[in-house]
Amino acid sequence: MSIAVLNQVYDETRRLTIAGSNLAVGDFRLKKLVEPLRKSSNKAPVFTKVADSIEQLVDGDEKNSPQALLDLSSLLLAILYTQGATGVKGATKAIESLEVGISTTQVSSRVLKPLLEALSTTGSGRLETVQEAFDRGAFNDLRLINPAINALNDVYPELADFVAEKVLPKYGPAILPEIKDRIDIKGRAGNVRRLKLLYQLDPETARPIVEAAFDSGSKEMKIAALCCLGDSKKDLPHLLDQIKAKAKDVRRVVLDRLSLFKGKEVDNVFEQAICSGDVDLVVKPIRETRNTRILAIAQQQTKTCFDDLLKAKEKKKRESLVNRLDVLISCFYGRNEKSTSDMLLGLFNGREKLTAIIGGDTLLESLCSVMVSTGDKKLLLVVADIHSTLDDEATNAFLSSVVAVLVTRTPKQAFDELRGYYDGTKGSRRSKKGQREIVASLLGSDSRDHTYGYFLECHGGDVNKEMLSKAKWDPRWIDLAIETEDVEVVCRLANAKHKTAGDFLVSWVQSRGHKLDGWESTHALEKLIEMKHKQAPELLLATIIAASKKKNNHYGISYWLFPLISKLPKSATKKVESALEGLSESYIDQITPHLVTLKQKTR
Amino acid sequence: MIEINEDFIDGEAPNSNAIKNGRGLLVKGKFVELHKSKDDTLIFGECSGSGQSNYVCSCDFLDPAKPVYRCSCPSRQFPCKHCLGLMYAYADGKKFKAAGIPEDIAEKRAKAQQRVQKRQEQATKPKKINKAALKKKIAAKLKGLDLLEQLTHDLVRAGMGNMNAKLARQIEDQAKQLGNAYLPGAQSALHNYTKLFVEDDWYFDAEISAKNRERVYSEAMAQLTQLNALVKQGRKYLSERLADAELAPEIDTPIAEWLGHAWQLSELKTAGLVESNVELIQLAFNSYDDVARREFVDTGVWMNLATGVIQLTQTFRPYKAVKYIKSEDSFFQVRQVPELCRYPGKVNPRVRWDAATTRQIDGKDLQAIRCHGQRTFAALVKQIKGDLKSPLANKRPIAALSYSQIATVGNKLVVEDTQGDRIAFTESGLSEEPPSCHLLWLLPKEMHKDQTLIARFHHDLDSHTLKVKPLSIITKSQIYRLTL
Repeated sequence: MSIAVLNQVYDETRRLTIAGSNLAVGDFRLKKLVEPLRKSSNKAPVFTKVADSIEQLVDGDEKNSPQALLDLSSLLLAILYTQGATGVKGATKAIESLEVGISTTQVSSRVLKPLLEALSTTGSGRLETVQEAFDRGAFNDLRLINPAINALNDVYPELADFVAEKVLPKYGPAILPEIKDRIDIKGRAGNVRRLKLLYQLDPETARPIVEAAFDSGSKEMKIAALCCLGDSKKDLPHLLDQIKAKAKDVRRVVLDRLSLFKGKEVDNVFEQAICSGDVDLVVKPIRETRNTRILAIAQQQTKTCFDDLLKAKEKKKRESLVNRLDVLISCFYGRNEKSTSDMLLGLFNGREKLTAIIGGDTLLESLCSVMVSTGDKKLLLVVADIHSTLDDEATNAFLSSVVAVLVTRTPKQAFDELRGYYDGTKGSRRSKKGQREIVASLLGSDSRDHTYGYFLECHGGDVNKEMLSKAKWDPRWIDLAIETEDVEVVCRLANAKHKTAGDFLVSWVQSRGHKLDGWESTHALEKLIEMKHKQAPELLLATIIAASKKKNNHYGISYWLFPLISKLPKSATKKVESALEGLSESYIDQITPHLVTLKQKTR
Repeated sequence: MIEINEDFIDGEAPNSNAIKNGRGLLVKGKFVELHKSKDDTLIFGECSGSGQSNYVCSCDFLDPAKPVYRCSCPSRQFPCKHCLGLMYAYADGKKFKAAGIPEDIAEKRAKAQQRVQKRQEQATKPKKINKAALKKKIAAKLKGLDLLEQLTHDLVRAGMGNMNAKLARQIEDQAKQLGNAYLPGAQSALHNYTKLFVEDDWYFDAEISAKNRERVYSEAMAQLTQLNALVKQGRKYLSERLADAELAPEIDTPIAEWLGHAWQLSELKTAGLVESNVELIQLAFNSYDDVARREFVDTGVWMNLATGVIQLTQTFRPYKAVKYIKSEDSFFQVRQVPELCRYPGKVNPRVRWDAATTRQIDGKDLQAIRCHGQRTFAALVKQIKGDLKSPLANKRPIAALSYSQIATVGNKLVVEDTQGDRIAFTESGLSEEPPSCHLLWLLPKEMHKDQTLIARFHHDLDSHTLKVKPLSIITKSQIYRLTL
């Protein structure tokens, strides 16, 4: 059957159905198709029916036109449905499988559908749904790959960032084509995430797009492209071009990426930055650089700044030099070459002149912290010697000095040298309290639940933590902590072998009548559970029951105590179940998930 | 006793909240009594609640294919959280004391038995028809069809180009009268037309953009012809029934269902639309919100392992009762159905059952599905085209195709049989089904050759081509679902 004419009739009928049936009456374009239809009728009688139907419509009146048009459409569609083409001509080409490595699609509809909605719609609560699904491993399903890629454009940036940072990298290079094909260099947020992800997964594939985005991309894409430059020598001119950019963020990225290069031009750029107000932009590159010339410039500038500061008389100039010197000193954080150690030692030797200046204490604190961070034994020893000379103003310098003591002395020596600060027999009246707190904060600071963690983090925490993780503790510290009833320190230093510590914690909890009055109770109970103390379940349950009888205790119970249930040993399940009977319905509802976790532990 | 494990209990639960609450009762130790009958057909217990007396709940597996859940609580969910908790306790290995079957349950069992007998007896007796009421109803339906005709004519007269959100809202308001005239199918068909002209939210707030408008005209035209056919065929069918009230509902075509006939299982059995000892495997699933009918619809796509026919299950959950009706989920086991009732209709008929058991899928089942796949596309395509020409036919039929390869021709993705016949892929399926073509690139390469594809056919009126949307691929080892 030649259906060309039928297709023409279909097109005209569709046009009239769009325009309205009233316009179909007398329509000449449709009418002129009657003749060719009649001519073809000897080949296929159905053409006669179509021609009749057209005439009924075209020659009819407006009143009956809707029905006539519907009849014609119905007839046409019935014929065309039987004429649908299927064949696709040409040579076939095998599909190049991306081989994602995931080959299951077994996530149930009840889980998958809300997740697809969370990734593709708007509204609150979606990030939680996605995070929960990610934690459960639900993204290990082929059907979620594309929705996750699409979510890079999500209007809620936290969700898009979560997908970019956590979900998509797990799929690996297999998703590259999907990411690459959808990058618009003129775009914004979603495209920035795509470009960074592409660069993270395959820098080589990302290269042409990075260059294009750098040359003619939007502002956001240019910054993203800058973050991806530096792998090739060709990038150098591009980066150097941008060094005078107005935006500080751009200059920061450029300097960061320039640190990957060597050469006179780059050195000059860094020299200019170090000598100018952009010094704060080069802190990270200098900390990581292997370029001795740049390092020497930074060292020289630090010394010059130190000398200028000592000579400066104007208040404003002094303030500016104090700030500059602080930034310059911080550039050497974690560096351990001899030249840096010598330079730092030189500054340290002039500390008396430094502390005489307003703001000099802060500089000494920074200096001590940087000296400890180098890990150089010579520097550590000089810092370790100053703790007794420091007053209560130099809190951080004291902390660095105590860290240096703990790292350089034997456990026995460290105990003998520092115990006085802890038991209050050493130190001036003004500084005693603060210094005790610092020493206490460092004892057992390798413990994961460190209440003073924030203290360490504020003051070069990572390096201090790493150093102290190797420190060994004299056993007398724990005895002293028990003697002074310092529950927090006992919790940090004790392990399952410390029977005395376990007994102390049990009697401490009992002596307080199972009161929940702060984090100490929780830490004591948690430590006992961790030590697998046989009384731990009873003590926890007694504390829960006692606390539940008090008003205004809801937050403390549900936030601190209930999660401990899931940490109990599996053998405690029955005890927990029987102890719950006396609790209110709302508390039981909150406990349920923790109890389920505990029960699942048994399986 | 059938095997009660957590998968079984989760599957029986009406929704995920019921699962959480049922587990919660067990964790909270709310069950004060746990018993099981000596013949292992019944578990029962008492669960303390907020009231003075305990709730008495039981799970009766006398007929394993049709468990009965009873509870004295006022919940309208079945099984309620107490029955679910009782089953979790059993699955958890809690100690159930052996006990005699309680008197009230024995009585209820006896009554249930009587009811079954009565039903069987009634099934053999000719059904009494209230002719006057039936005629009144048919007359109302005929009036409803008049209204539908009038609305359809108005739409055609105005033209699709003049259709806008305001007009769509007006039509929707008038279409409510179709629901009152016992014609929910017609109301839904009209809604399917109007919803094409508004954006995705379906609440007629946002008019469709000019860019999208051009794309919907062909589909809209097909919807209008469907409305026209419904008026014509419906009027003929109802007129015949009005003349002879004892005339049985039509079983060769789905016209009765279009016109609001709610088929009872007994009616289907009487009409001979029943199969015995059927095993079904679910191949795809979807769930959508039918705004016109104000209900959620969960649809399962199943293959009858013995015949290879692809059949559909549909669970309707009206908004008002959504809490009390079990929401269906994708199902990954074999459903064993002693008595399967089939609705009228030739292509992908709807099926229902009263009782069923389950078993794990094994390699033989997958092999059976693969054997049922059409090896020559030409024959299948001819059959599909023949089915599509009927205006009231399912315009998105599903079939199983055994292919030699899935490949690309130019930028088109095609599936090819051993004869070299090809069908192009499309994403045009049902709006509730997520996109699936892109997944074909993510599948392991061995799946691109010699497997079985479950696909939904779609005739694209603009390009005059018949295409398929991939739903699942069946290999020797598993079913890869590409949608839900």
